[in-house]
Amino acid sequence: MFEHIRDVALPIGVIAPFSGNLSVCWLDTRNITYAALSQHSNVHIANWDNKTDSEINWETINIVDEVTDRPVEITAVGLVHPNARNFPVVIVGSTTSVQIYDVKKNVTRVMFQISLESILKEYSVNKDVGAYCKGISCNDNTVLVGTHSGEIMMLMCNGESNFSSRKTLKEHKTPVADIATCRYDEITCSASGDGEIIVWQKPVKAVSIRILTKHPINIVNVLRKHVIVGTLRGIIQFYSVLTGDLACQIHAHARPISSISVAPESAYILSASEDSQFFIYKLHTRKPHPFQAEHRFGMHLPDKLIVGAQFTNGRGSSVAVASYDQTAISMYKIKKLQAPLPAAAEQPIQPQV
Amino acid sequence: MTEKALPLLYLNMAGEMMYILDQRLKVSAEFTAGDEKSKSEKVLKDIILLVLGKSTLDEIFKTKMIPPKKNLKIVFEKLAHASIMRLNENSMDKLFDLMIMAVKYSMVKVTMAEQILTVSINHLQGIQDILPTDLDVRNAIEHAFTMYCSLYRPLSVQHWHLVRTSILQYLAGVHIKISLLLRDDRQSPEGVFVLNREDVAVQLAPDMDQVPIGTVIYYQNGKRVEEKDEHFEVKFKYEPYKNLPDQLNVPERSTDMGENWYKKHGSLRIQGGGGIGKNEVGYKAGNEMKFLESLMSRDLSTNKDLDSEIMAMSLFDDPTEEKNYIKESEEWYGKIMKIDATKNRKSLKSTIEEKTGGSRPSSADKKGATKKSKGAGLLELMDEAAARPPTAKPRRGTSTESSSVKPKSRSGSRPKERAPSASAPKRAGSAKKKAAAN
Repeated sequence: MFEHIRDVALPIGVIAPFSGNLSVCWLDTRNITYAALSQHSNVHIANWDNKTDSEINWETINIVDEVTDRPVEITAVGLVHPNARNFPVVIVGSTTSVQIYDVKKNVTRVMFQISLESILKEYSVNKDVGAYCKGISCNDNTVLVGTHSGEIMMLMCNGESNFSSRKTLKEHKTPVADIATCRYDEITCSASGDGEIIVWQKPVKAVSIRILTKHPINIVNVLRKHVIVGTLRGIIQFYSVLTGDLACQIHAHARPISSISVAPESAYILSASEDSQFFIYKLHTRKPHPFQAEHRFGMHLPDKLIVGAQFTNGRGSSVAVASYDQTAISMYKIKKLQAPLPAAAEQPIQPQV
Repeated sequence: MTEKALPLLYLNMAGEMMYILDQRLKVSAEFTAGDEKSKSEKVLKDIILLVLGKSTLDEIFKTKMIPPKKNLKIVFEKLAHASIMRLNENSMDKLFDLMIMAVKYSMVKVTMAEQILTVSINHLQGIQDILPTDLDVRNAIEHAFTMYCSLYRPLSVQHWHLVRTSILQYLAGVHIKISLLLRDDRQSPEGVFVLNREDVAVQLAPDMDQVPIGTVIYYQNGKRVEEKDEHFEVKFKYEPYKNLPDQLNVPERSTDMGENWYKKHGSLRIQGGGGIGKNEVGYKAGNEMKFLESLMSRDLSTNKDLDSEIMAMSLFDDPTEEKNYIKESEEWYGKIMKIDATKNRKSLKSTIEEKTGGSRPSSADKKGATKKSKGAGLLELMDEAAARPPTAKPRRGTSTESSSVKPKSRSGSRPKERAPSASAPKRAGSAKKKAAAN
């Protein structure tokens, strides 16, 4: 179903080991796809024309703390597209702060920065675990960033270059594992490592429903009113965001799920794991077809510890994969079906005497 | 991110160091008289007792951050020279390369992050097996075992994942080719670890063996609907987790990683050069090196006035191997492209200064002013210490303070202006999206 197209080399260095270390955002009207990934204290941002498969342009940002001027340890990178803006922004979460960069203009200039210590109420909640960010999403104009204390930071986008912070959401008791939003239904879900999923009301202010999975959640995504969960044990689960019921469970991987991506137009789901494999499923939710997570395709990437995999367009026809310690991201594309050969052509050619 | 990464990294690296030194000392003792054997045992005992000594472990457990590789190498150099044995600089570089790669292999290959504790216990057991009858060593091992178990057993699955990620982050970019791994097809010729082989079953995490991999299970009203189960083809064979106790002196644990692999295979060769502790790129000295400072200030040698007994040892089989290692390491280091991304960076501070027409000259503009980060003075001191012969007399009254002027700001360089975009882009269309959502 998918075939390897090319490997795109990073401008410098190797890919960091954080789960979900590849974020993608595509602009349908402009056929532009942006991708971002982290590498210790650098963030690499790629953009390309997804219609013509043009050359990939890279921008590299060295992330330093604006106060101390020292390089920071990046723990999460997310590309989000607030409605108040024309182009996406890169959200960089680190062990000290959250920074926002524009993907289009003055990429290397910080648009907004806020330190974790200044905004989190329970900054020193656990003396063994230092501060960090994990899980980045955006609902309308609210950028959400998960943190080690279980609090979710809310950063409001008030215009092209105007961001402000709001009071944090404190509903999770343990570190946030991931946050995801369905860009069509505007349903936002967050999950903590202890297995609790929270489905947030619209707009993100109060809890709509809590789901207790009892699984060590690592990654989440939302598609067609289902929250899809990837665990550290390699299990994928589908929960209804309306009832909180478990609908389906897939045993596909033997190592932590590092990424779950969705293609809203085709209802394809991509799961990738540190076991060097990624799988594609088709989610059937509409009647008369019964609910089904149909396995469509699987691929093994030898000796690649996959840390991030994403569809690079809404149709789910192409995939980008980032692996730990690699110097390039791998691109895959859906194979075009071969038209059947005409009957005459099928006959073997007779050698001329 | 987590303060729990360094003690595990330290123990596993220390275990590897002991295996390598043991193997090397045994090889050299084979060609010498019986007196040399007892000397080797003494060397090993001195080092083990220091590596797992209460005060050393206390310092390690107190330290919050993993130090840069260059500094960590100095710590291990100090530890390796705790007795009468001395390694030259190239041997120490090679020792550090072997230690780093062995630990990285374990961290990449573990079934689940919690298994790092099992790997660490394997290392403790391996160290004990070097001198199995020595009571002092046994006590030190038991003390270390208690310390590690009391700290790490209560950790949650997520915290373990964080610990593993922190260690992997630290070891990213290191691709030294180890002959032993290459020979066993555990490392590719490009230096990448072989993660899964089709002929070897993949170990599953605990409780994951109840449902076969490749199964889709459906639920209705919270209950499994078995007749709807689906199965798809998988590439590998899987085996259940070996749920064995993580204890000392047991015949088997859930993994053999961390065991002394030099017992079976004697090769310590490296292909294509290394020197990661010497040639580390892109680190910035920080002030998190308090423990190093304390270790540096202590006289770690347990043997005083034994200069005449100093025993030189090399990790190279012959001078040619050593020459090749140096040459290949230099070539490898020469290939590394250094790009300073900070040059193009425009900070909020510099932007404000630019907008307000701030006229304060940056420190980079000042003649003769050199920029030094926190801890750079200490690093200079350590470099100096490493360059001194191990037998040199200890210096007194050395100050770690640097006399250089501390700059006020980071850089005076300005990024190049980017061309403004031609026109304001239109917002991503929504009609198609809505259609798809419906």
